[in-house]
Amino acid sequence: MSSSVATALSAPVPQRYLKEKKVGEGTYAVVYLGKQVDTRRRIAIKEIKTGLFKDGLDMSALREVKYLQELKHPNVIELIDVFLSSNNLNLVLEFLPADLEVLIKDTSIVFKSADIKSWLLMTLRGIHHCHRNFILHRDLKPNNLLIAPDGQLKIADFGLARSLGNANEDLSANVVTRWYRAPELLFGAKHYTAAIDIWSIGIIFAELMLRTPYLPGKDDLDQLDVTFRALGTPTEQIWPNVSSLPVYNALKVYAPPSKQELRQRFSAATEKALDLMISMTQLDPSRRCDLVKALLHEYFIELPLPTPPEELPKKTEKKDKEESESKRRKI
Amino acid sequence: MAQQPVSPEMVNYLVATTNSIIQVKPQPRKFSTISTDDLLVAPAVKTVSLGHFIRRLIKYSNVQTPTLMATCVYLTKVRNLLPANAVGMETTRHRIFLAALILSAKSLNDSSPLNKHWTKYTDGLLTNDEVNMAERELLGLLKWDINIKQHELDVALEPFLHTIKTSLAAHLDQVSAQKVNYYRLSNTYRTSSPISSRSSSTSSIASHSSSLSLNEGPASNYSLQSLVQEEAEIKGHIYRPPLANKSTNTLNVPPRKDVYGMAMV
Repeated sequence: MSSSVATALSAPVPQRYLKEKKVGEGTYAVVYLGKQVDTRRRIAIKEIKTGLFKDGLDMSALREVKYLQELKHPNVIELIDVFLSSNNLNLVLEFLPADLEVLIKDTSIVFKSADIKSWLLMTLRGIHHCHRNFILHRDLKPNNLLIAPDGQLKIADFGLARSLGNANEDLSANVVTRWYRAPELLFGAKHYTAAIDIWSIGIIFAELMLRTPYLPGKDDLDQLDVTFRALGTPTEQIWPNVSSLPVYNALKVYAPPSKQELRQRFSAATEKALDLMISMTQLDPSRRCDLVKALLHEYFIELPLPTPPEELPKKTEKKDKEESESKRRKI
Repeated sequence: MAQQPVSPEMVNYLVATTNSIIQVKPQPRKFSTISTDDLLVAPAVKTVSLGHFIRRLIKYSNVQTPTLMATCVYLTKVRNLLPANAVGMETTRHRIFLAALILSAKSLNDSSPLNKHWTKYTDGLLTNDEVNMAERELLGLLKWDINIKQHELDVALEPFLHTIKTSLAAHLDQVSAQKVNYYRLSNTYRTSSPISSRSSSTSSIASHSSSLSLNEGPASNYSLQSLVQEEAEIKGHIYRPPLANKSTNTLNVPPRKDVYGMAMV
């Protein structure tokens, strides 16, 4: 992977990759599907839009490169190469045809509880790998959990990730897509821990069971309201020192939901599933379980066992194409 | 070390490292764009001295020690990558340093100046395009391998580790001596001559160490307690692997309670 950059500087457009089709465009990048010329491997190319000659390299692109180089794990997206084309930075990533959001929204797919367990397990494994390398993802949501042709779930988009450095260093509270933002972030905490990623996973877990976003706040203030209506307003009693956070407010005090209420809300969940979800969505970050505890939770041992990745439901359309795809990649 | 403010020793070390990267050929007339005005300290070279340049960058951008530690690693990497006979122009070292600093600041901190701000911080030495170019070239040179491994950090910062180690040993000696004297002399330890001579001898070792904030005040003013505290601090720094801080940065400090028990609330 490394030699290409040197050549990229002299020969601007390396012919090692072919861009075939534009598949998505965001504010910050355009994504193309393509092929690696010599191996015929299918790839995705993320072209960072910010012009290199204006403000220099984009910070989030730089971080994404840095962390993806560092993290190699079956449940983290693989960065194959980086190159500079005429004016843009290009990240060559492994080709992942679907994401969890697409599957959640696809009403023709039925999620078995074993499927949910499998996805959750793969997410936890990937994030565990990040956390044990002292990297916070800070933008977990179904949309960033991509699905490989062989069913493996891969964590993507490390543009907001950062390494956990000094305890006295200020961190930005303005991270994570709103619906998946932990309460300490909503209160503007400048010091937070890996627990913010756990919260996001807990909310994703709930979304997988409900098939609809669990805490869809309309704006930042509404997010507080929605969150606390569902999970109770944090008080000094259940979360010591919460009121000292920068933008703490408890305008409306909601009582925390009873276990019975939660059982009704997640009617399909077993007691153990519910227990895991509750411990991942504790309002007080110091009470939230950590990844090791989550991975060792009895939920993953009780029947039904997690579905093997290759048997997980896939996007309904283009099924044949994907299958031939996975065969090709195994060669 | 990572928690200390930026020390002059750190800056000097950065200057020395940057100087050792590449030899430059003084060609003062060729690059007329270089402004050579009042900033000049030593007029031998017709450009801002590297030390000055680096000090100003650090001051303007307000970067912290960990960022500079990372910068150091990149500089060391570049030194190993460049052929020994490479010759740069006058501002090559400035450019390399700036690029390394930008790279570390962008990849480590949540907010970093944009390149146009960095350009301003060079006081007109470089243009925005030149800064961008330097950044790109550094990444090309590093072949995008921008991760910092433990051993690279150890190598790049070896002199600091060494001084920390020596002064730690010195402090342990000193503290035990202090303790002995303390008990012996009861509460007159402050002014007793054996201690002050001891302290001054050790503080001369410590004065060239970077991260110990020992340099203020005469040595005889140290109270036993502050020394013990300092020793504990130093210990903490030594045994913790740099940049891979395991310190859980706690939002709230109550001891962890049983998660599942609490879940029932």
